[in-house]
Amino acid sequence: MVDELRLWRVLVAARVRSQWQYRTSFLLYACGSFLGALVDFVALSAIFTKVPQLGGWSFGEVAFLYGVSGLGFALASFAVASVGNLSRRVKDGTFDSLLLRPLGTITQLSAEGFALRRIGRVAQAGCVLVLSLMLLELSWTPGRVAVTTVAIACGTLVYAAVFLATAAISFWVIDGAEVGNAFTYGGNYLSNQPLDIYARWLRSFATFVIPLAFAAYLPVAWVLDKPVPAGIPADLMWAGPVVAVAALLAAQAVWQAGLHTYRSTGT
Amino acid sequence: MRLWWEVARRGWRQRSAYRAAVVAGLFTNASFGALRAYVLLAVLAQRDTVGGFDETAAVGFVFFTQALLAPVMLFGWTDIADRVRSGDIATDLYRPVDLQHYSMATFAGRSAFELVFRSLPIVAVGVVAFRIPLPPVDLLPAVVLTVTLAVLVGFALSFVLNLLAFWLLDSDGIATIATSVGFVLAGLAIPLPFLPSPFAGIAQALPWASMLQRPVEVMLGLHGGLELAGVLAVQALWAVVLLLFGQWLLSRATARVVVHGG
Repeated sequence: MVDELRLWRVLVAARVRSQWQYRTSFLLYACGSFLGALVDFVALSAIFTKVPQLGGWSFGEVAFLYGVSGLGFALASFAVASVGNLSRRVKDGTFDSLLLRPLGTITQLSAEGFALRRIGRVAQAGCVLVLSLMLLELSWTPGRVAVTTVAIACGTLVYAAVFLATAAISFWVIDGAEVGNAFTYGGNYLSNQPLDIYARWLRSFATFVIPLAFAAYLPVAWVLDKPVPAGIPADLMWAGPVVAVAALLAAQAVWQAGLHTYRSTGT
Repeated sequence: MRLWWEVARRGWRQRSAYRAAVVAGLFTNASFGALRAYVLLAVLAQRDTVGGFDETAAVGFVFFTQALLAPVMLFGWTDIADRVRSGDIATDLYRPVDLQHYSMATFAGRSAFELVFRSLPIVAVGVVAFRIPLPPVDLLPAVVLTVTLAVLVGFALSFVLNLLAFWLLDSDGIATIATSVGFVLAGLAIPLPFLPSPFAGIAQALPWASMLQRPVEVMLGLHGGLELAGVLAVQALWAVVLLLFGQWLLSRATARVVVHGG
């Protein structure tokens, strides 16, 4: 495991060096990624020109939620989103070459497709978070700082789990990769908004099936002193780190199960 | 005519060959439809209408836009740009047919497939899960016309963006920016009337609105009589302007092409 991480770092560093060689191209892509993510927040802000709140949350509060959730998502995407290349690898038969190397397939895929430009999305989420802090004027007690920091870390793990588990679908259904978007990008869209606005089944889904609520909504509601709607026990928030690690382990188990069913085309 | 029919059929088959992908895409589009619906419902819980949209219209809007997304291919139709980069475009230019017409036939075949196997099921999900209103029967000719024009504008705009690959070595950047811009300007992120007033008006006049926002308004029955004719006329105008612009760009592009033999 430690070796695996060390090798991952070496491989990623090599990718970063190579991408840094084409600086203009990198900067353009990073700006594109930043703008693409920004547009999404602009659309959400536009809503607040029509109404003062969303699900009982003010603009500053929603922006804070968006920042925390978005940062976790962006960091996870930065680290492992390229496992999504599995679909193409299985389809064109090049996945086999990964199996021949003495390194885990997740490590190889995430290092190989590592794209420095995804930093643009991280920057966007960071900007929204800073903006929300200026709007909110919260008194930052150590507890609030700690819960927010842990929430972002948990979010990264939960989204990484979602990226892994949904990419693994390609082991079973080769052309089914697009389903993953509903859970990765869809999951991020869902938890950028206060869960109060969704139907009860969707809230339960985001808490107990895919633990997105732990990635942002529950801790943020605690930091902002917002009431949590029926169907979600608010004290569950404290289980966040355990849930996040469990989600990642579960996703890894799904991946392993997929790997075992994998049959090469042999060509 | 026979030729275009055959080309379109190949386009249809490009999509129908991957059934799991169709189901996957359908699931994703419908999921986003549901999530967006809840956001708009949360807005409309606080006031009766926004820019003429009430709860029923807003929920109908998200499902119809999600349904039209694949046929108009707002995201990621990069066939020609890819072929320019790989050099395969030289083969396309050899053919004794116009590249724009040829691509349009393929595009039409793919869109027709998406309309039947993706759009209709998404609308069905909306009807069952959110009770969205279907367009009244007497509006059907207008709906067929507006959707056809939307697909045409979608093609014409993509074609122009694809041709930029002749001038830019790396057209992915343009594709990324175009996708983000289209995401808002087409009315996909939120309905255009939800934008602050000057922007909403400007966005309604741009070609992206003719791909999703305007046709969906027609489907919801928000326009009647002269207004309806006006919407269709603007769509047709954008289709013609963009197709002609594409034709002109193509002539400029082919004049630039230098094929390295091998």
